[in-house]
Amino acid sequence: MLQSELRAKGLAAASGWDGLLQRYATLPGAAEERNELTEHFKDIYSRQLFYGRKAVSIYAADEAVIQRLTVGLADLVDNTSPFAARYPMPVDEATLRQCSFDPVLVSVERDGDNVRIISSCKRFYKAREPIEMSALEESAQTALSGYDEVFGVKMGIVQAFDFIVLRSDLNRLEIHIDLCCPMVAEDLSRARSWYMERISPLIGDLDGWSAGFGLPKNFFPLISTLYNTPDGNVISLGHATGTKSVKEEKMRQRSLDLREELFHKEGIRAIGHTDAFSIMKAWSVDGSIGRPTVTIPGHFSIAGAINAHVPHVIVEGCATREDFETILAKLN
Amino acid sequence: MRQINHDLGRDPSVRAACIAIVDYLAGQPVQNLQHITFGALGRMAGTTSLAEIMPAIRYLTGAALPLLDPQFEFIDGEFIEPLSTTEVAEARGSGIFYHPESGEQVADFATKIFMHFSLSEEGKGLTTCR
Repeated sequence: MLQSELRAKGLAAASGWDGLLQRYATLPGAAEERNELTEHFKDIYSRQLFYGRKAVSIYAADEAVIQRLTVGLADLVDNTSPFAARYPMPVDEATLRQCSFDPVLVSVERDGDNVRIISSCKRFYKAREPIEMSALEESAQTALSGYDEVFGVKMGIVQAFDFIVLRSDLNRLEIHIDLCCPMVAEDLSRARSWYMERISPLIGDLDGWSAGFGLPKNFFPLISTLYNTPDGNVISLGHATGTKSVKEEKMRQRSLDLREELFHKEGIRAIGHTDAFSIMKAWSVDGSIGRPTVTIPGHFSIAGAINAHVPHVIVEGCATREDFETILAKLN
Repeated sequence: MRQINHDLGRDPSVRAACIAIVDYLAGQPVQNLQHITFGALGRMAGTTSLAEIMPAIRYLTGAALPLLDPQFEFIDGEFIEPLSTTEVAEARGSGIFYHPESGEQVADFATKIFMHFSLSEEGKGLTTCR
């Protein structure tokens, strides 16, 4: 998205934020021009903070619940934390290493009639990457010569910005988990549970609230809805067949639609129906430089299950609030 | 159909579901019916409710008209292994299941064993041949 934003403004591209700031710091130009650029970069950063790649879960919450949570969550903001002191910017790595892994609420912001509570935390990640044998020293190449592929596991920490969004307009609570590092379904479930375990007690003894929030919205039934609704373009589909195969089909470009692809069309026509378990779909939004995309993630083990439950969607490719809201509206 | 009407005459909703399923199966080539999910059976019967489809499944896998055979798979990540009914019964009875590939005991094996259906020999007699 950063590259798209820079290209849209006719600016030279860079590799990531560090590369960008370094590149533009050395460019000649008047102070006013550099200030304008700085403000532009801040705007891009801010929009990516709110509308970048997130895992979104939704819980029903009426007006009375939202009012209690607005007050209760604001009281939990810790203005003394290093995260709050630097918000909306990230803390430096040394500070981050000293922080706990537990999320800290750092700010409460109004967004029209809705309230956004910002939380920040240190997140540990493990990433598995292939290693090019030719890049290793000769002795290492010799030692690994019996292997066809070599992988390395990289572990690191990153600062995440999650959001609790209280939507009066839609009578619901949304949890937006920042996908700033690789996270599997279990990681997302733990992150979501952490927030819900602290949110639920804030409701107190509200009438009719004895059952609590219950499960988050189930997105599994929406897989077939998104596939069968002709708008947008289906980028990928995971589905299983009655002929005992599991298919994960993907288009090479996000502007293309799998539903129009010959191999896919003829396959569906030949066997009539398949059991979908995951989908990625995108839409063009007028005036947007991004291509807002939603993924309903799933494993093939839930294909054809009647009671399957997918508790979150992944929203990405959004540059603005309008892009993000466009995606959420498709999931109602 | 005669047998379904006879056996399920007093249960119209189950009868209707069974007839819809048998109707669908009869119109499909055998190779399309090697892996039949609960969802597919629900779709054939016009329901998304497990509670509503289960009586029909029980009948169509039961002694009176066994058109469907239950099948089991152990799925762990990308690993899939078919399991026999006996293996599943033993695991459930003993509470112990060993990973077919690694041989290690699987602690939460109940969440990794999945059921689906295939046509029995009698069921195959219903379908079109292509």
